[in-house]
Parts: sequence; structure tokens; C-alpha cells
Amino acid sequence: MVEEHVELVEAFKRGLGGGFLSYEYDAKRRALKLFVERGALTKAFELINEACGGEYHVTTITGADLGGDEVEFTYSLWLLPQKLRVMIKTKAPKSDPRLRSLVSVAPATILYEREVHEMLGVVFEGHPNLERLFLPEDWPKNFYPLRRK
Amino acid sequence: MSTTKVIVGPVHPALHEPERFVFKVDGEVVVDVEPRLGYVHRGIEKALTERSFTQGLYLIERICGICNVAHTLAAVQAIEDAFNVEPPKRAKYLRTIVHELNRIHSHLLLLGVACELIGFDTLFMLIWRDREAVMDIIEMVTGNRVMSAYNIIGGVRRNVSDHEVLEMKKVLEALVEKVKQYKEVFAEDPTIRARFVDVGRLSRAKALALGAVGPTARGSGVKVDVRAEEPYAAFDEVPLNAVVYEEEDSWARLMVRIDETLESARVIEECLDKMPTGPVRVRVPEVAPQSSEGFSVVEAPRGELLHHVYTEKGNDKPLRYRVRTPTYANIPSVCEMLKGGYVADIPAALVSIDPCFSCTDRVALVDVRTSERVSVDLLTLARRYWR
Repeated sequence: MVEEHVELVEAFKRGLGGGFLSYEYDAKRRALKLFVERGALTKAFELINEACGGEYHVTTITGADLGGDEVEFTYSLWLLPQKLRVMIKTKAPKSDPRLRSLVSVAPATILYEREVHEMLGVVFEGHPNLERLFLPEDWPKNFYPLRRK
Repeated sequence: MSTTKVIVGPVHPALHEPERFVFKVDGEVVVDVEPRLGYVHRGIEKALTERSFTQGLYLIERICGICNVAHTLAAVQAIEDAFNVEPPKRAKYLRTIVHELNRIHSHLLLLGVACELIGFDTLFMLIWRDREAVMDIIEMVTGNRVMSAYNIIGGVRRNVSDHEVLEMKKVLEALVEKVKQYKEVFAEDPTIRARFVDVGRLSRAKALALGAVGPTARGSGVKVDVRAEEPYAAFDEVPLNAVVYEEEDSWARLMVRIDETLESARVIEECLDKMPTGPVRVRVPEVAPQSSEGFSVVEAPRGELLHHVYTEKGNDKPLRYRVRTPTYANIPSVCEMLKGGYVADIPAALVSIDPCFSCTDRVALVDVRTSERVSVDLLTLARRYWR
């Protein structure tokens, strides 16, 4: 693991405190997975922003319902100065699928949050326009195509 | 200030695919844009969790016909990552070659379309004529002109012969000369410059914040090219020089594509020279050997493409399959580009991101009257009256 990548992990540990859970590093692909509590997500993005001076790119948000009680989220980022793939992972229970919207911190998440919302029924609190994106307007309410029973 | 709403699409002569845009205009100036996506949403992510990995690959290829190789490459890499399988070296080189051939044909297609949209039909015909030679070599190498079905989990479907290598080199050499001529035309021709220079401006800061990818980002000075930064397939041994333009307009985005076409031809030639001998595929288990997660990011012709797969031990189908296509990532940026521009410049700005809406939209069937979920198999669906 390169020194600046270690620094990033340390910054996360310091900045998030109890919100930081663990990390995994894949040296071959220069990919870093950071596991955090859902409440620490906004802070995590602020730390990323600080670490690379705003020079990062949000690839996407993947929401996955794997059949358990929780929905898993992967925020995939590319840090330009560090040349590092970062995946911030968090979970939310299906009974209360709420996350803070990151649009104010990372504007690129605007469409991805809408997609995760309509496909998995996750509410992003603070999103400026949490409407449907791909599904038709007459699609039934409270029915989410990618949710498992 | 009073504004008028102009609705373009979902079916419109200027759009090659169905999508709806609501433009709020003040006189000739676009004030705001509201895109409505989803007209070609086919529910592919859901459908993939109901197919085996091998069957799914053929569906993945159909997410987008133009950049099909980028999709299958990202898919096989993601699945190999989850299965922990390493393809043979020669296969990696062959994947790179076909991936780049695919990019050349896609870029030439777009450059042609861009010329057609501004009324420069001669150049459109010339570029598409030369693109045909590339289509022919894709057919020679993979067996198919468009849907190549070349990448498979664990390698590639077929090998190339020495004769085919020579033929490829010959065609590429001739093509490079032609593309160099087109580059001069795009750089200097007054008609092209009048229609594309300073049109659809996207500042570097906006491109970064809105998550622009591919030539759209690189035309605004953001150096993001997955092939150069996160090398996959043979790009770790055949390094790529990322093409970046600082002009931040539609013209720069088109110039990025012309330079990339030349760069792709160079990469293919280097791959053909360096390519090792050996097998082109390894045997891979049909069911997932472990519960795992795999991801792969590749540079499709339109930009960064992500495939993310969750597998379950002993299951031959993925638990969850996620695709994030480049045009989808570029939608916020294109809305930004159109704001403040003239109505007449809309096509020129839109074409510069090389929009592919089939990629962006990807069926779960639901009875809208009762909100009841219905599962039907393909054959029932094909009967037309499925209820």
C-alpha cells in the first residue's frame, strides 16, 4: 500500500471515529474499499474532497438487495491525484431505507440517487428532486423492481 | 422573464434514439433543460439476475450495439474478478485489439453523424466509407460485423491467424492516412469551426463536479482515461497516451475522438507486434465458485463504463448485476452545455457527447391496474397476447 493511500485510511479513521468500520486494499488494481456507517457518508465525502482537493470523479452508486434484511450501497469514486479507485460501502436496513443525499457535496450523484430510489425504494433525504428517472409515470407506487421479497 | 417551453422528442427527426427533452427558451437562448429518460428502458439489470453468466453475456452485448465489445469486456472482467480466474495473456491482447477496433468504428461513426447534423454530408459519406474497412476487419477477426460475441468468460472465442494480422496492419495503415486528412479538415475547415467552436461549453470544474466521462471530460481538460490510469487487458504492457484538449467546447470533444482514433490504431499495431503465442482461453466453472463481488471499469468509446456483479457460491446466476454506462454519466453535463446556448446549436452540442440512449436506459412487468407483479417467460412474451 502506497504511503498516500495509508494516509487516506488514517484520515478516515480520525475523521469518522466510530463511523469507520474497516477497509480492504487490492494492491494489484489500486482499489481501496472503505466500510462506513450510513450516518458517516457525508463526512466521508468531505474527507475525500479534502484529500484530493476536489479532484475526484463519482463513477456511480450501486444499490444491491442481496436477499437479507439490508440494502448494500457502493459509492464508486476515482481520485485523480492519487490515481486510486475508492469504493465507499455502507448498508441500510430494509425496514428504514434512508440515507442522506450527497447532491450538495457531490453534484454528480443527482441522477444515481434517483435511480437507486426508484429501483430499491431508498429515500435520499435532502435530494432536490427525488422523482422517477427511468420508470414510466404510471408505474405503481411502493413497488421497487430490484427489491427481493 | 417569460420563457417558452419547447418539447423535443421522444420521437423527433433530429434524435436518432427516443428521448424527451423539454427546453425552456427565452427567444433564441436556451435557459434550462429537463431530460426525461427511460423510453428504451429494458430492465436488463433485472433480466441478468435470471440468466446464467454465459447466457447473460449475450444480453449484455445487446445493451448497446455500437460499443458491444466494451460491454462484454467489462462483463467478462467483472465475472473473472468474482470467480478469481485469470485469462491467458494472448487473450488479453486479442481483447485489447478488438476493443480498440470497436472504438475506431464508433468514433468514425460519430464523426460522420456530427458532419451530417451540421449539413456537411460529403464528409459524412467519406468518413463512413472508410469506417466500412474497419467493419470488414472486425468481421474477419470475430466472424461478425457488429455483434461480435468475441469476449467470453476466461478468454476470447477465436484466435487470429498470421494472415489476418497482416491484413489488419494493411487496412489500419491506409486508415491512419485518411484519418490524418480528416483531422486537418476538422481543425481548419471554416464550416466545421463555425458550427462547433465555442458551442456547448463545459468548463473543467463543471465537468469534474457533474461526473463527465470519456471524450466529454477530456475535451474539457480533465485527464480521465481508464485505459491509461487503471490499465486493464493488455494496457499495462501497451501504455496508452490519453488525449486531452483544453478548449472546453464541442469542437474539442470531436478533436479528442479524431486523435483517439489515431492512438487506437497505434495501440492495435503495437499489440499485433507484441502479442505472445499460446492459448486464447481457459476453462471456467459454470457456477460461481465463491460468494463474492467483482467489478470492472473499462473505457468504452463514450467514456468510463462500470460493471459490478455479486455472486453466490454454487449459483450459476448473478445475485445482482449493475451497469453504469457513459452516456448516463454525461446527462448532467450535456444539460449544462445546452444552457445559455442558441436553439440552433442544440444538435451540435448534443452530438458532441455521442449520446447513446439505449445504453442509458435499460423489464420487470407490472400490471398497472392492479399493481400486481407478473413474471412471464420469453416464449410467452413472444406470443404477444401474454394475458
